[in-house]
Amino acid sequence: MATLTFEVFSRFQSATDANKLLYTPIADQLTYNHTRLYTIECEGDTEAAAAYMRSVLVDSISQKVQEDGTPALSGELFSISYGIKKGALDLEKEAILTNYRGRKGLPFDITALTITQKIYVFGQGDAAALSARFCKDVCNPAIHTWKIN
Amino acid sequence: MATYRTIPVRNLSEAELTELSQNMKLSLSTEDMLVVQQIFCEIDRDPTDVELEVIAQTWSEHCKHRIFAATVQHTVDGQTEEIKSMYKTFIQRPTKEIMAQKPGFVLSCFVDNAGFIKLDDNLSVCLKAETHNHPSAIEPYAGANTGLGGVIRDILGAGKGAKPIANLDVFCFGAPDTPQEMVEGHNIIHPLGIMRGVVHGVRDYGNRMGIPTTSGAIQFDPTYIYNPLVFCGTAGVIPQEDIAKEMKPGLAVVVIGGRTGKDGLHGATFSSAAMGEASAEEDQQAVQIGNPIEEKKTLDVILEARERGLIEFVTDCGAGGFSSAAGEMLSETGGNLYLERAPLKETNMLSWQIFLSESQERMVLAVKPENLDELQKLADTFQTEMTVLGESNDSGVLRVWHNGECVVEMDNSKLHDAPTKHLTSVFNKGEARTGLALDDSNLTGDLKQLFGDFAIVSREPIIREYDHEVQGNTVLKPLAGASADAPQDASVIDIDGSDKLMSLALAILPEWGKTDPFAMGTGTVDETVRQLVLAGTNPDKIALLDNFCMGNPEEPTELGRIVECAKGIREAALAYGSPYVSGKDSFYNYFETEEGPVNIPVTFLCSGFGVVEDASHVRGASLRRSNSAIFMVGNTEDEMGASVYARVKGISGAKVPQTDCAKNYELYKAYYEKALTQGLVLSAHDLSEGGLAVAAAEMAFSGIGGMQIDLDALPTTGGWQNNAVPCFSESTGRFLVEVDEDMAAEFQAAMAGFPCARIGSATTDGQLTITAKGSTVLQAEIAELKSIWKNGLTPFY
Amino acid sequence: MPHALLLKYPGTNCDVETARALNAAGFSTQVQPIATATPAHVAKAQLVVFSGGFSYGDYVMSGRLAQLETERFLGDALQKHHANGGFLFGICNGFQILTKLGILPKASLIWNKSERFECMWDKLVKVAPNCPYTTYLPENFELPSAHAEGRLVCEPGDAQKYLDSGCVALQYADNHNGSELRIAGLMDPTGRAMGLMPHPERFLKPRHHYDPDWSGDPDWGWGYYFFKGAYDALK
Repeated sequence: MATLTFEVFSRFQSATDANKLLYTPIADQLTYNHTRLYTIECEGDTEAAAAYMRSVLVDSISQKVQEDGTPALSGELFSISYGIKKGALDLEKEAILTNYRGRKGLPFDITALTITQKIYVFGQGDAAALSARFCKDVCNPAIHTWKIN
Repeated sequence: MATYRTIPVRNLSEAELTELSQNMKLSLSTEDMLVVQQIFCEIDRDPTDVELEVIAQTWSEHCKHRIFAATVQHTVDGQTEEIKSMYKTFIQRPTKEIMAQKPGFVLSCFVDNAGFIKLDDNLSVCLKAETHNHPSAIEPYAGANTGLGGVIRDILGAGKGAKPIANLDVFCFGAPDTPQEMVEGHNIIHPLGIMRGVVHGVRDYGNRMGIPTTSGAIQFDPTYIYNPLVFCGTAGVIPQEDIAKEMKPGLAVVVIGGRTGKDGLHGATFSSAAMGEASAEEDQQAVQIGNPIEEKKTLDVILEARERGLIEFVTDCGAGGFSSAAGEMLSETGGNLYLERAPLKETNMLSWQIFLSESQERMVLAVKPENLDELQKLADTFQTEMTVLGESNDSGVLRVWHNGECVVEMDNSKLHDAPTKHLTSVFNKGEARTGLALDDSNLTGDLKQLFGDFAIVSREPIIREYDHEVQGNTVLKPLAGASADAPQDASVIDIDGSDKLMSLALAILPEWGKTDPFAMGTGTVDETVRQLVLAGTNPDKIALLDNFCMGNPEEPTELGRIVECAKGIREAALAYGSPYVSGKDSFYNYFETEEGPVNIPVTFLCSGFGVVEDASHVRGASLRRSNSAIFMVGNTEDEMGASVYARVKGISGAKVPQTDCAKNYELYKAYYEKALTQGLVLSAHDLSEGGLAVAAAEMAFSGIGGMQIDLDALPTTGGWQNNAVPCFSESTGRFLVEVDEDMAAEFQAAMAGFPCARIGSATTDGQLTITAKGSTVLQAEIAELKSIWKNGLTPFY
Repeated sequence: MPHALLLKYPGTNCDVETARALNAAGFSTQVQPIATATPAHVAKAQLVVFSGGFSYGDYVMSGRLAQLETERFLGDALQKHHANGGFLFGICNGFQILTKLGILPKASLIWNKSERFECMWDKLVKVAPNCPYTTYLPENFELPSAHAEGRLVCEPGDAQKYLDSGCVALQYADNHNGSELRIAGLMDPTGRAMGLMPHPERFLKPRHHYDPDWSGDPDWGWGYYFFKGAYDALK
């Protein structure tokens, strides 16, 4: 059993005004950028599993991928990792798994897939208060689970 | 493990029955439970939990519309009358009268998922609109996308499967600039969050389904902060011979599409109860995320199967899931369903959970056994799952089995209807003042203020997020004019296989109902009909939908308003000869706060659709020349009540516009027959929010020219004491018409005998100039007004 | 009569109007769901069309899962079709798929600069003179667009190379999505394979233009001429 991670982000997207994430603007001069983190549990030929995941997830012209488990971006005031909570429908996950299940004779088995949206917020301020404020507008307990880093 | 249980009810006391309803979250009243007890005493056995859940679901407000069917003691200014079913009195009866007067126009209504009207000799079009308010308040994205997904399935399940050809979306929100303090401390989402989520939900579902979103509206009012409203509608087209469907014994009952999970259990009963501070946590399960691709595949299978003649009957799995679908299909003939066959998302589901699950994207079909193989091939081709759940027979009894045990046995002839509710309502007429001393010294400034108000600002940033041109048939688009960004009154859609077109329009005027709900009813219908006619619709081929939302119907003053509104829409339907072919209502849109309940205003959405006889009749709402004549049709009166001007200026107690529907019908018919279809009209725009000054400027937003208008020429019966009235009154029945200068005399002659006058001209100076008694009372650059209007929402969306 | 094959994926939703446009230009058209498509279907067609929509929901990224499924069901049949002189035409989501299949010059279509879905008409400029699809079009014309992922990006320097070598079929005059060098449509060096983000099939008749006074052509909307151009090149 191996755990593989792929944090995918755009080459063409730089940090922009974090107020876009909020419903009422705040005065703090914050910016944000976002990535997607895919985590799979797999058995068998992990090299082949990684190659398959790259072929699904990564567009080499427009994207970069970080596979060593360290965060793709750095220097943030805080980051929020959130995803669709258990029992709710994650459409992207279903699409990937449907593609995987449609393939025959792969030399590996994917036993779990988790997709996490990562929001990196940059700037100065009270990280605890600000991250709570952002979580309130970005995440919804009705469909999401989240973690603040 | 047992998947069901028997619930002893026959020997319970009233108190015990009430407690049982509460413990099982059945949302059935004590009176209801007594009838349930009576049913099972008569058949001499106790019910299963599945059967109780089925009854609770079928009797829920969401499914049975028990408020609209209630007996209401309605008191107006001290006089009491008894109304036996608002639905029958104000909606069904006038519709039946109209159908009798116009045989062959309405092809089906009251019996199917949507009402059908005749388009041409072969085709029929239909429309349905639903609300999805409570789920959208808790999770706006998911709530809106499952709301839209649900109404699309209504159309797919209408007849033997209609093809969805247009979506409409109407929202009521708090203002996007609502201060943070107003939402803090309540467990609610800020109105801007609701708006973004809802728009994205509609976008991601509608666009992926490949159905153009051509019509919509947004209302902003602080009372919607706690209870946003989300209306989704879908129009469809179907060959006339595929409208009628009938269940027969010996058919296979098949489910296609998504799998069944523990989704939305008690969803129907949930939407019949008020929101509370704790609803997000308690009712998490009620929020599902839609899967548009699953539904698109289902759509592909159904349309292909219908064309190949494989479908005998089809219906959607909406509220109540298999239970309501099976009830609709098998309660007459009888039949068997086997729950263990249903493909499930999760293991360990109880019988009632499978039978009542409201998982999205499922359709139930009845198919001749010999056609099952071909249907299975289609399902495989379009990569969707198909399962035979059971079969119909001639027993008259619906039996549901789970792992060999009978968990439901229902004989339709032995079931009782839900007991009739008894309600009281009160309405007291409000003030209706005219001749108010308004400050008309800066009408130009007033107009700019109106153009910056959320009631009027351009919805362009939202409209552009919806694909309004997919299917390649959108002739009259939501954004009009030579630069494709000016407002449009209605939309018009080409129909494949027909020379005729379908038009769509809607109106919603909740501000009016706060003081004069009867006038809201007539005015809303009038605006809908008027927009359709201006776009080119034959006024004798218009059908309407009624969608009501309100707060707590057990508050007599709240219910009183909806009764008055319903009276208004009855009068309007009869006058215009436009039947209500479908409708829906949503109650309990109120929010308990520590300061007491906040009810939404009584809200009536009127959606209309109709037949455009020829593509050459289609007209937009935008100025096309800079040298044309401008006519006003309809009378302008001192009716400032509920206008955007009144709200912006803080004026209360003014008279709300009164609508003479019978006169307006004659006016629209003359305009259609003698002017529009005779080629005398270049463009026409209805007067609504903001009145004449706003409508004139909006027409000129096409970028072609300016407009000069003389208030002294306006037709009126009562006149005014103040120039703010003709500029901003929202009197109904009015529209501006652009006519080629060479045809101006002919147009004038065609409209002789009706309130119609030439009030000005299009100009090349790029100004809106309004004069009275020889002097200019309002003057503004069109470009400046347009910039205020166009950028009103962009800081927020 | 030239035959067109339109591949339909779960989520493809512009197939009806695209088939209508193909038929109007003279093609016989077969709409084929991908799960039952075979190399034999491709072999029968002179033109393979990828229409608009959201194949597999466009989850992960637009066109990616469609590309993988196409390779699974059809192997290299499309590449062979192209090498043997066949035509391929991708519209919107079809352009995204065609790009990922490697039949067009290397490029990607990513989220619009606005990070929004945008439904609007684009002003377009014809660039490559030898593109069969644009033969009958004037230098400047308009088409409706509706996409979230239409911003064309390339590896450094490639966009200019495509422009210089005549692979840029169309540019935006307005460039609302922020594409490199305003590229709206790309073609392979032969012009047989072309993809574009705007929707020609939605502007088949003059009355589909937003302006009732549009007078560019008495009989057809500009979109018709893309299909007519391909038809005449193949007949």
